[in-house]
Amino acid sequence: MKATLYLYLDADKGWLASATLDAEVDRLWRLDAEWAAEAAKEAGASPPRPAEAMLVCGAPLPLGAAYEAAASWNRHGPVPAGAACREQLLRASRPAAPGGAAPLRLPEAAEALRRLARAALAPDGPERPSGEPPVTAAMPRHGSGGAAAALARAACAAARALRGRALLRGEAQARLAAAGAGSDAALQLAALLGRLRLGGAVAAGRCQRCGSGEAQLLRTACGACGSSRCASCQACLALGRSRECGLLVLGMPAQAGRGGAGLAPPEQLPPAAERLRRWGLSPAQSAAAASALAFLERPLQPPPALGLRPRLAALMRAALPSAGLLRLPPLHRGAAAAAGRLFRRTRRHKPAEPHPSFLLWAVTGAGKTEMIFPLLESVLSRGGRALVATPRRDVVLELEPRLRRAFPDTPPVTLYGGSPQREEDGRLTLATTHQLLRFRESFDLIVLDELDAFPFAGDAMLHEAAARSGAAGSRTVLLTATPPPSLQRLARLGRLPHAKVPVRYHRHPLPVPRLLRTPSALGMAAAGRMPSSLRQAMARSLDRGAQLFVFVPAIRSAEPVARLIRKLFSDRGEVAATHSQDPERADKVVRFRQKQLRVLVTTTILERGVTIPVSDVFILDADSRIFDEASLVQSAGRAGRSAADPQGFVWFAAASPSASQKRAIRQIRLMNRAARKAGYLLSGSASSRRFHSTF
Amino acid sequence: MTMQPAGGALLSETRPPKRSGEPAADDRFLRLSEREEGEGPARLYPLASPTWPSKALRGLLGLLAPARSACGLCGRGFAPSRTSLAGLPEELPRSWSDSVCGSCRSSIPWILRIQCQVCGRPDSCGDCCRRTSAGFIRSRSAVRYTLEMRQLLARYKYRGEEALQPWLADMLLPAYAALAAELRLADRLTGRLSDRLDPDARKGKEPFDLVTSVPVSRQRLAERGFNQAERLAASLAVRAGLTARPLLERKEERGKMSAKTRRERLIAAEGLFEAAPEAAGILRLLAARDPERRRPLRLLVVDDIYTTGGTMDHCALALQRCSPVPIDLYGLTWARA
Repeated sequence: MKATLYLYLDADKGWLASATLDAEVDRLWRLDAEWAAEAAKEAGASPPRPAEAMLVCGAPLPLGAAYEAAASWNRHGPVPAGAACREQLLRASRPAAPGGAAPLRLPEAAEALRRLARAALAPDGPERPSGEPPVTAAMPRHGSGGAAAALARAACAAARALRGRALLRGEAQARLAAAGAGSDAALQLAALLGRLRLGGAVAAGRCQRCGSGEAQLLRTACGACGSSRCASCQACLALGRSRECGLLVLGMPAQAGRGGAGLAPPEQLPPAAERLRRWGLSPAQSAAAASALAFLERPLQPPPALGLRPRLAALMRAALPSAGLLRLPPLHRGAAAAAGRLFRRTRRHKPAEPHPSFLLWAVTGAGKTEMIFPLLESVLSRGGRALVATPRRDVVLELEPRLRRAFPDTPPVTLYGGSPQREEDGRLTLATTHQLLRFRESFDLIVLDELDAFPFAGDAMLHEAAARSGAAGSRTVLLTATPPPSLQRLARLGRLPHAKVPVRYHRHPLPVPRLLRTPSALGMAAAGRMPSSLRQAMARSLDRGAQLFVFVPAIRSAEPVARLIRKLFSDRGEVAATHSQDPERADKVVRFRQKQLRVLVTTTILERGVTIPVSDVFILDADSRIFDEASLVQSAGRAGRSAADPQGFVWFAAASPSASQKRAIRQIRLMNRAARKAGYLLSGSASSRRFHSTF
Repeated sequence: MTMQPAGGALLSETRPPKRSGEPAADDRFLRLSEREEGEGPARLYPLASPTWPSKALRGLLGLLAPARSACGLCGRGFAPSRTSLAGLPEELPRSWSDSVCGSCRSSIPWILRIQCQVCGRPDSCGDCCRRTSAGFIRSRSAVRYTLEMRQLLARYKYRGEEALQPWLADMLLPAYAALAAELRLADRLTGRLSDRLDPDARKGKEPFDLVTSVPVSRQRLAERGFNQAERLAASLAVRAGLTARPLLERKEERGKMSAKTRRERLIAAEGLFEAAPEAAGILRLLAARDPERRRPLRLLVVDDIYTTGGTMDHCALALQRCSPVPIDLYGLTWARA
């Protein structure tokens, strides 16, 4: 796509450059005072000061190059006669033209604009494109006032619809088509009014949508803008191509409350305890929800100095119960602060300051979703915008009906790849984490569910997208059964406010996994038999009427293991295998839920989000690297989830007891212990059927 | 349940408070691009950084493990030294087999044996008998158009994963080599005695004079940013030591070919292509360059998919119409549906 570059003469600042999608709109806005006044009045803005002259480059430039050239002119002043290419243009760090000097005369300015356009067109080197870019002086034409109000209305509608969004041109047009405001002219006027920001989707060596740097950019010859090195971002391709000559439309931050008044103060709401009661939470759930709610409704504190001392103090606070008394003497305080500054300067990566976050660490089956309802309610009833985001689409689809039931007045807008609700707008949004690339400064509360799941866990791009989707002063609630070690550590050090829910909603302890020593899954399948310990364990589970989850680490072992189980337990019902590449995966999961399948052999894809009332879990090759502590805890969490059968069996079958297995068991035991200590367990269940590992 | 008091560090306000009144957007856009070099990306919570013993241990283990690289087609990591080259056409460059993983390789249905000498179909072909006028002489394709190949091509063409382009272009080479070998053999059999004895001629000048490609419409080009056929042609020309020039123009868009039946496609392709204004001049110059040549000019038309042959046929006819000199046209496509 191309854009037009032009210069206009401001009475105070001299010649300024700008790029536009529709030069006609800019001409009217800058030169036709009557038109501009009418448009500004319709939009409720102050009219611009008319420009004294305007020079338009007749040949449209690649969009990214045009915006870049305009920015370079406004920062550094006119291009020196020697600079022939864009690289030189950007490298020359000249001071802006001195304010006292008289502005260039019209012919000189025209020549300077021609030079600027030439430099923008030849980014690679001194070779010049054939022909001179024509430059014309735009003249004010009067009596075109009628259309101003209509266009201004369209511009305001566009600005409203794009609040809190970051959209490519096609997406913005699709969104605005309903409002009849999708034209480039409306977008351009909204930008002139200062209610939108337009620019190249890739600019200054970075994808402006997803934040990926040069490593993710691919520069190719482009048929759309004619550049020979038009950069496109390969990291966020899944949501449409972000490229240098493509337009990215950034809306203003979304505003909470009526008329943008911001979140209403929590004092207006009924007391927290009263609000919590309505959701029918268990004691552990409501205690955790209460502290999350307190975090959410507490006013923000001023940023503390991020030095060594607060860290030390936090560490001591965590270590010593009487930490409130601990104070460093002033001299030491100064030394520590200096050391802290030194420490900070020598660190290689300065992390961007994190959002205020709260970790809700709830064991599998604790009823996490119910706990976020009071949080969402708090923000929604104060007029704010709330987001529930999760890496997995299946989780989105499962949460949707529950959120709809809980909030009938503000039904969630559900967003995922191919979602039919893409153009809708609501105050409660439920989305996959990829969709957050399309939001910017939009939400007052971000609830991030299953944050340690693929693909969010290891994807810096999605982390950045999530962080940027929060509005100023937004809060984040992180929700998981298995926080990554870095979060656990922060929570331990007291740097991350958090609440643990160590017990399931039915108030029985988590089943503690037991270890079994077996050969590898493929080995057993090849031999056609299992060790008697494993066979007896499976037989016992089948005898008690349970359905079996059998987890294997690799796709290639799924089907052989299913065959083995089919052979050994031929009269016990149907056995199936599934994995991420299985086209019938959804169908098999449904059949498993409907109890048509007795045993489901699966890879880690089903470690989260599937609830089967009476089920036991077998993890084969539990010493595989695929099964880390989090994965084992999640898989073990498939057992004993219903109140009717709260104590399923979990077996880790492996050639050797790996460190992850031991840590997973330890984590589950710690949670059970915490639950018992806090008195959350039902009295009868506390000591019933405690398992000991065979090692 | 434990509730730790906020350590404070995370409760920092990250942005200046919202300004009231006239909104100003100008400083927001550049915030990202003006991020300092060493500064990490924004995050909701701090990144896990491995502690030094595990980092050192991992480094040591890395020395022992075979070198791994990311697959050019699927992006997953694999060890090039561990995968076998069996079953691959031998004309594929080494760089290709070093950068495509085993499972991607095994999913590629190479066309190694053809049944129809005209269109290069690997099974018996009804289309070429039905055709009354053919603008081209032969066409060859690199792979069958299976579901995997359809998905791969869609990723490149529609999703715009241009990083796939070099690997897709390399895949044309085996089919091109087979076609070139056929033509060289034919040249030797029909050529003059002196040509037949001349060792240079036997070793083979490339048998084509020019590579060209099936065009896309202006509108499609603006929307997609590239013409996949032209890119494939350009890459092939570089690899085979030929020259590639676009000679055709597509008049207008009549809907995507992939959404049409055989009959509709044949009708839609009628009169859709036209030679570019400069095509006749280019062909005349080419012919004049070698007055000794006995045979007509040979052109290779490259496209991504051959389905009914309608597109290829009409492109060939359009070129035949414009050409001031006799030309022979051959086709090469990435996939054969």
